[in-house]
Amino acid sequence: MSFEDLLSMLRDMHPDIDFETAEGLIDKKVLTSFDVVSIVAELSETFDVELGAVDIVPENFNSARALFALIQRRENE
Amino acid sequence: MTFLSGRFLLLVGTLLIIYYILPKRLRYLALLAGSVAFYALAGKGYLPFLLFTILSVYATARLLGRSLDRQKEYVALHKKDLPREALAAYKKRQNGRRTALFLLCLLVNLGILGALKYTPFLLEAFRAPYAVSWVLPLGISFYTFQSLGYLMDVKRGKYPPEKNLLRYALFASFFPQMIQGPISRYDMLSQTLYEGADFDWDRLGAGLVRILWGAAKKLVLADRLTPALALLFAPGGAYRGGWVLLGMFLYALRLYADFTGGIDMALGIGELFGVTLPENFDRPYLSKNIEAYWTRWHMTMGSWFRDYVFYPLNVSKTFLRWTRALRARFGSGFLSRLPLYAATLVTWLLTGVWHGAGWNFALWGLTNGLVIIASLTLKPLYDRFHSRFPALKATRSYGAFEILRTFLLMCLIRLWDCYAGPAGVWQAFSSLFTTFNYGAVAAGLSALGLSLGDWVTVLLGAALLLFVSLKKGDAPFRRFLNTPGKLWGAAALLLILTLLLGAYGPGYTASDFIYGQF
Repeated sequence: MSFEDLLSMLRDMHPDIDFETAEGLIDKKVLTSFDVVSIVAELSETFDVELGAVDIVPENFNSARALFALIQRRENE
Repeated sequence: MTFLSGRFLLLVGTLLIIYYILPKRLRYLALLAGSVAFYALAGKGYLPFLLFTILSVYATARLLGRSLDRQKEYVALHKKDLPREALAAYKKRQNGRRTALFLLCLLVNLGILGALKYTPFLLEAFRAPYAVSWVLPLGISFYTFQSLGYLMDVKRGKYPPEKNLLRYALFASFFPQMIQGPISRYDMLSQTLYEGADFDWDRLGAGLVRILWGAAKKLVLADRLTPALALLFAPGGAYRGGWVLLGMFLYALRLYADFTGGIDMALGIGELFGVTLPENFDRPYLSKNIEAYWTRWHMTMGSWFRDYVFYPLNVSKTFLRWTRALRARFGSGFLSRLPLYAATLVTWLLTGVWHGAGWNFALWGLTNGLVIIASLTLKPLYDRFHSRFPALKATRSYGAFEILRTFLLMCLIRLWDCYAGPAGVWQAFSSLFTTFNYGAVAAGLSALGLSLGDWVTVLLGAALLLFVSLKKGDAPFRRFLNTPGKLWGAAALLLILTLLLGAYGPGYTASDFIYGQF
């Protein structure tokens, strides 16, 4: 999957957030714990990307770029 | 022994002197000795339970760490000569062994907690022919959860295990957090716990102000309300309608003053030794919805359940498969979110029973879960409403309405804390809509045993708490105390206020904190 694919998925889920530029999505409480698990479920279903509980830390979900970097790390493992 | 006893003050005073006399590298040992002394003095027979948890979690974490290190070495060594599938199978095998070890330690420790906490209740609930009763080891729910959080983090490879048993023992038993938390994380607490901070008058003053601020909340406000609330919530239900509403508000104030006061004291004591404990509250009564409330009230417990129960459940293979199957069948509507809702209810049920053994605790947890689910389900409706009236959400009055709505909702859910059994809760709740006795309540306030002076103190205290909350909370208020004169002046003022206005004497139990019993 590409970064554009991820952006498109996130935009569909949260049209009100500009994921291209938004930072601190967890730290600033823009995304809730329910949003986070919904994103993980969507990634699993749409792109077959498997993330674990260990991956759910603020650093990985604070921005779309950080999330994409995590997905790439997991895909390369 | 708790924060508000002469023996505790003596222990902290002695420990402070020893701590700052010792060389820096040995100071953590003074904290460990102080923690052991505190726990031994707190109750006969408590120490073996704490010691077992420390030793079992320490040893298991070391074994898990060793297994992870071996795995890393093996993978690095064979990365080029073994196919990817073989390495994946090796990792899976190793992870399986680690999981078995982890579960063994988890179940034994939870088993001890469960047996001690729930056996008397279960025997009664299932009408066993005999009954048992005992006093729970102080802080067992807190130190067990803190220790198991550490174990899970080590298993996940978040950080390596602590090798020094004494350092680990201090993390698990650091005395200020033993009565009612906060529940610390090792990677955060270890940054200051072993540092052996230099002596600093300003920090000592800041710690003292935080302790006295907490003591004032507890003694002046929370304890003043205790006898009145005991009357209002007494079994038999003499106080209905408007009295229930008054009880809800007074209980919200008492719980806030009691719990945040205790946490202020714990954090302040930590600060005396240069140890930073995590904040546990972020102005929860100013939350605009229940989900936000639970990220701001008892934050260390909420994040514990989120990180170690809610997230793992939701992202487990079983739950993800379940979600996929439901989405394939029903699309993206309510039914496809059943796994999310199930995980929410499980998390909240566990949060409820963590607080204690009894149907009310379980039902309190489930009510929270159901209200959160309802608000999630109704979110599209809210969104549609706000898209029609886009300016409304930005207005201050709508913000105030959201805060008031959330506060009232949480007061209602807390009825589970206040009345015995579901029948008692239902009678109190339903009377809110059937018994309109507000005139009698206004005329009968003195019957609750509070004088006019008490009511004035309570109202001024509540207004002060609201003011501090609006000014960004308990910790940052010290930015106004930015000179030694202001700092020590505030400490002296708080001490005098607490001594003059604190509620003491028969009927008041200054040593008891509500969360201490969990």
